[in-house]
Amino acid sequence: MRWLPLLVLLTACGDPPFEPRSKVLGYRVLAIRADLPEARPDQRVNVRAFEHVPDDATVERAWSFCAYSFGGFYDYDCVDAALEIPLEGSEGEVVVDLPQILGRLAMGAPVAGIDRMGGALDLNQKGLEAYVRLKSRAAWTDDGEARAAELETVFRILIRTREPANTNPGLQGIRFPHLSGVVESAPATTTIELEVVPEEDARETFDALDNRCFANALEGASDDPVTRTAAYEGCLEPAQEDLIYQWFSTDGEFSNPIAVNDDTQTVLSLPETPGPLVIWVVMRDGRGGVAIAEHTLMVTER
Amino acid sequence: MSSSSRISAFLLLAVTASAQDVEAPAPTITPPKLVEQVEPVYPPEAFEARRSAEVVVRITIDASGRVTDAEIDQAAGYGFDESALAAARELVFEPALADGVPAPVQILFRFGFAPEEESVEVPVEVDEEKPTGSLAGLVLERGTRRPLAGFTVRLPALGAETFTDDEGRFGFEGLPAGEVVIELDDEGYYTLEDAEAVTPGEITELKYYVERKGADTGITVVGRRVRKEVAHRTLTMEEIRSIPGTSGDAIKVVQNLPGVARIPFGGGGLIVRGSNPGDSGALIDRHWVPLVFHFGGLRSIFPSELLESIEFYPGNFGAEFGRFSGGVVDVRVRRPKDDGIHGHVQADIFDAGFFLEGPGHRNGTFAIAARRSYIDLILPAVLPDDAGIDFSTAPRWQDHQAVYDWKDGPHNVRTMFFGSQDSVRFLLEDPLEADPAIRGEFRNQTDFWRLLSSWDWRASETVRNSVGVSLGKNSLFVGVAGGAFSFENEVYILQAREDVEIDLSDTLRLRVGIDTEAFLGRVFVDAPDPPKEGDNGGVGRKLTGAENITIDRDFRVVDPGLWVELQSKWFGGDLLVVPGLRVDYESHIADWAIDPRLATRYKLFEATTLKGGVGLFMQRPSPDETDVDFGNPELDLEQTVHYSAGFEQRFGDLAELDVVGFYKQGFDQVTRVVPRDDSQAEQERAAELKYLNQGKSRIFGLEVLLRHDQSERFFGWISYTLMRSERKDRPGEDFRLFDFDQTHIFTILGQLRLTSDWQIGGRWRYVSGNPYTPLGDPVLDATFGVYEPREVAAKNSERLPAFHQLDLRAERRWTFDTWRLTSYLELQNAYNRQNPETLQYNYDYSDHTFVTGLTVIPSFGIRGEF
Repeated sequence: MRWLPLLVLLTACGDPPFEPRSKVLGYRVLAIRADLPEARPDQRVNVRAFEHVPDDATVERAWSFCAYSFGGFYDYDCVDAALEIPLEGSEGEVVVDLPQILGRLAMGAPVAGIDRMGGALDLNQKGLEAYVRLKSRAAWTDDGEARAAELETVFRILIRTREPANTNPGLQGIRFPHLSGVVESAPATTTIELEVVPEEDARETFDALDNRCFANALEGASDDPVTRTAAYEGCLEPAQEDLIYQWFSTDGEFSNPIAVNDDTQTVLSLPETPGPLVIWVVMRDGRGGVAIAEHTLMVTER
Repeated sequence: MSSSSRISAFLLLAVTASAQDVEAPAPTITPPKLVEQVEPVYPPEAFEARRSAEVVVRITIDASGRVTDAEIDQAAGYGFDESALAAARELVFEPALADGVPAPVQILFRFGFAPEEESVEVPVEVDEEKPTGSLAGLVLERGTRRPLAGFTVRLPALGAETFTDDEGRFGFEGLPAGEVVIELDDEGYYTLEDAEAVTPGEITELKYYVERKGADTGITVVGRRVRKEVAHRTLTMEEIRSIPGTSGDAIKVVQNLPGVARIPFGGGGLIVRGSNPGDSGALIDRHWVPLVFHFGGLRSIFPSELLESIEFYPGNFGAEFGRFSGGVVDVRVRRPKDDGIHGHVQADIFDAGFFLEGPGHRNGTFAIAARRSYIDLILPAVLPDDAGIDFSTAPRWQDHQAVYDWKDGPHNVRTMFFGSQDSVRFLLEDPLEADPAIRGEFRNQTDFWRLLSSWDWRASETVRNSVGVSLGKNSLFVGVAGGAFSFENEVYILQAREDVEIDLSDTLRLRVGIDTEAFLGRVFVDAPDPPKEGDNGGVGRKLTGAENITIDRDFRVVDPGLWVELQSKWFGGDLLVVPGLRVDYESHIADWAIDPRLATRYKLFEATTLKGGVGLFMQRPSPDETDVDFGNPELDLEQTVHYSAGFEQRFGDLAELDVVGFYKQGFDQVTRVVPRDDSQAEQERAAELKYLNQGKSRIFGLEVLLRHDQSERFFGWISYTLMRSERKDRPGEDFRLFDFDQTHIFTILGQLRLTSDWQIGGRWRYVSGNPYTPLGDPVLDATFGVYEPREVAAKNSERLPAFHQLDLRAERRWTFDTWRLTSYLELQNAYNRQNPETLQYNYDYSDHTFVTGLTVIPSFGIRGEF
């Protein structure tokens, strides 16, 4: 019974009876990218939503910031509604002025002094995961039919003083293997090979915490900051990021819509309907780093 | 007027002392021997009318061999019954022995009346002048080579008749030389005729294999284990080996009994009377084992051939069982056969195995068995290349058992070693789109083994002692490469039981015992908070982005338990009152449990018994709930009060109706702490405490079991459970439905022996769908690209469509002199019902569909036994 969810997920990867996630049919937030994904408390962070907005759509957006949430376990709610700080910016981009916001929080309601695991918060170790929330509401028409969507999206910004900080992975773009140059058009119902091309140094090496080592080192002294720091420093192991690629398009179907690291290629089966087709690939490093590439091609009559 | 009456006896039921309705471990019974035969008087009118008849009399014989009671079991009328009863009361026996000690028993004794001028064991008239010879023979059951005792052997031409002894041997002396026809004929067997030559001055050795007509009935000598609990259901092996839908697996049959909920995908575990799966326990010879089913519940971990019986207690069980507030399944292992080497090899679509048993040194017997699945060999070959899964170890199970049993008079010493392993290991070539942290290698391996030694000693007719010690190890590893989650647990377990029974008088029995467990192990967990009851089975929960908790620690726990029980009979034995008390100490949370229990049975009429019980049953919180990091070490034990009442009604010898109403009230149930408001203080309190003994449960229902015991041709039952199981997670909240609340659970099954070779069976089940909590309105965690849904309606406010399924089975047996071959074809889900088992949502939880269970599965099996 413990592994029922996994069983369901594995079942789900067999023959999905729904429209695939990769097919973007209406207003959708595909990704949020923070520049910087990992920031010091004295830095400003630009946050941008990558969305697919249908041509005639009207979109309302509301951004906010929460420095203290229990995450998905509590629906990403801020621990206290008073700690949810609205952010200025109604379009797809917003600036998080950490010094200003954290200062405001410290005045109104102090930033919690414990992390979510009950341990003491140390910005030089695990840091503090703060949440940027985007609530968006869109309305558009599809073949004359009115459509609407209300979405809620969160993105975690790691507030940490440790160096080096994580950065967004570099992404060269989408390539077309076995074809020369950029493909501008392709016949309907054919297939087209696509390749995501990360920058050479996109997979960063970082100090990963060996949880087992840390748990052992902390045993019986988890509240002692000196022991905690020593345990943390002693249990860091160099690790390399895993890059996960997620493919999207406005129509058609991918052979593998999600892949990891060296599995950079996919095959897109083009739709029967001619017209413009937008393809995206979102690349995530699993630590908050995000990159996105987009390409539009014309599907022609066969 | 002269008469002839043919007499033969069959041991039907062996019970202890005069307290025939008190449970005891199964002794080895040596049947009583007839030493003083009395001819019944042929009723004159019946003789005049040339009537023949057979009368079966149930005779109670005391420990001195004297007949103390006789009653008609199978009547014939015309005065035959009275004549047979009168004769039966005059019979004298050499007493039966139970483990070498004279013991009272009941037997069935058959009197045959035939008007012909024939006689019983009439000395063969021999012309002293002519040469003579002798015959010495052995009668064995065809296919099993089991010696047949009390079997009738005749020489019709000479008017002679005799019976085989305990070892199946017979003999005739002083027969005239020449050819003689031998007839072997007894109830339940095909008549065998043979012509043999009698050689002057010699003994001709003979060996016969006679074939049984109907079902085997000789596997268990215990028959119906006598009851003292309100609901205690005993299954004998022969009844359940061929139940459709179980692939011949006896333990799986428990899932068809009243009070047992169905688990999605036919998975393992037991959900008994609306309790959590972890609240019910599985025992082998009274010692706890961590699991009874292999991966996916396809097969149990113990072969059916080694089982004597399966004792299932859905609630209100005696004080000898503790630490579970749901139900208990106690699998009893039988003594291996001592009449020669026997065994089998079997194979079906899932696994193959062997079993071997026979006599050992002196009074010892042994058995060894092993089994291994081969899904791992088949699955990679049939999986399509684009399945996205690369198995390095496809689902695989194996188990092994070894038993050595030694008996000497009142002593029975047994040592068993058994173990089980389930493993699966595969590579997910791409991350799961809905939860990308699940990628790479997934590995799950579960092992356990036990070395169990027991010593049963019948110190006297009134004192019995049983000591059992088991040492074992449980190992569990589950994990996904990349650190999404990992669980490793290795624990050594020592369990010791000492059970003493003392018959203080004919109406009073005292039972006391010690039941102590000790655990020594290490656990490593790197995982998020696990889903709990009420969390929708974890559907919608993601590993991606979840905060892991990591622990890596040793643990040592010693949990002593003491119990005492008094079985007191009143009103001539019609009323049985069983008060009991159990005291347990749980050292890891330093909490005591004092559980008083009471069960009563009252024989209202000969075939009608009323029963009722009430008791307190404690349950340990799960290990994670009391862990300092995952849970709250300040938790107390959970408590549940069981109430039940009902009746049993026998209909003749073969049918019985068992009706039990029950109510269970749980308090101090461990549930998750959630913030009581939106304040920061409440969120932090919830995060810190995690769990509290703040929940309640209430479960009520009615169980009906109408059962037709194994007869020569038919066996089956109808079981129905009407139930409601509810939980209240926190004070001030309303009760809600339990995750596996199944209002109606109906099973009808039966098997019919068409001929001695062919048997067919069917099972149909109808079960209400499980409740679930609708999910939707997700939040996209764009850091990882996963959608986290919210609960959009009250917990467990919706219900899956009902489950129903038909399973069919046909079995063909070929019997040879020294071995038997059996094959079966089983069709599970014969009409291919698409049974919804759980929900599958689309990526943003705006749509869902049902994940259905297995389609029609034909299963073919073959088995050769000797």
